[in-house]
Amino acid sequence: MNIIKIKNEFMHSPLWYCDENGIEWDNEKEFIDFISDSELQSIAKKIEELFNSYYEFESHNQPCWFNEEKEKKDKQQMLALLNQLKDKLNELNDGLVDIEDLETPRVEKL
Amino acid sequence: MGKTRNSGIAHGTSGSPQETIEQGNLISKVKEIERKQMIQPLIAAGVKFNEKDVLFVTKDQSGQMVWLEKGNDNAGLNHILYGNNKEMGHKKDFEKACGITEDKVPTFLRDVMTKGRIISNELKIMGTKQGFERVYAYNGQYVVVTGIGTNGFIVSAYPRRK
Repeated sequence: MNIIKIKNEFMHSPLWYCDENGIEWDNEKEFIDFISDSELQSIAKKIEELFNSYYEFESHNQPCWFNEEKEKKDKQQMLALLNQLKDKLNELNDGLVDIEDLETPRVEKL
Repeated sequence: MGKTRNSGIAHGTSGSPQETIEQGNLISKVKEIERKQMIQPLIAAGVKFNEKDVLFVTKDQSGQMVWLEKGNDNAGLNHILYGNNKEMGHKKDFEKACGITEDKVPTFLRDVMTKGRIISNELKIMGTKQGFERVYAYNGQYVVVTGIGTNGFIVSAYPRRK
């Protein structure tokens, strides 16, 4: 069964459309219900923008610096968005994909 | 004809401790020179970098200098392999998709990024932040996707099935 993973990554949507081996799969047909849903994609974009906001380049004497303090401050906002994302995914999922949330447990521990 | 006297300079015989030490010193010096040559483009570009953590520096077909450091939970090799929660990395994805173990990932990425054809190169603007999503051809079934800072620092990389 195909998998949709929820995971934050630099310059990537929190939604990872994966094959049964868990590897990201560039096959829109398999995930069209999710890709074409504007509400889901809008929530995903908000999460992506929020997560990307933590990355700074040539900052703090580092080539790439991650603002861990800001991430902690935004914890509740991120959790709320992730919940919205999952609710929408579950609404759209007719049992054809497994949904694997890797991000919420990580954020909860911040 | 008598035997020629040696110059008086002490040399170890083959396999001796003295020769081993000399060889070791020479190898260290060569590695130091190679390392300095490797980071020279970073110095010339005036970017910030962590010298002892640099794994490779290269120029890909976009013309941008890119480099990989050992990194941490959020960026660089450590992030690529293990993610920011030790279970969220792409170590297993590289094994399954590309047949390479984690110790080979830096060399693999260097080769793909140096020699690989760029399939797409998008400067993504997210709010006030910018970064490149650059996709390299790998083999028939997979491509390698990278997230690169505007300074060339490689934040992330992972295989994607076509």
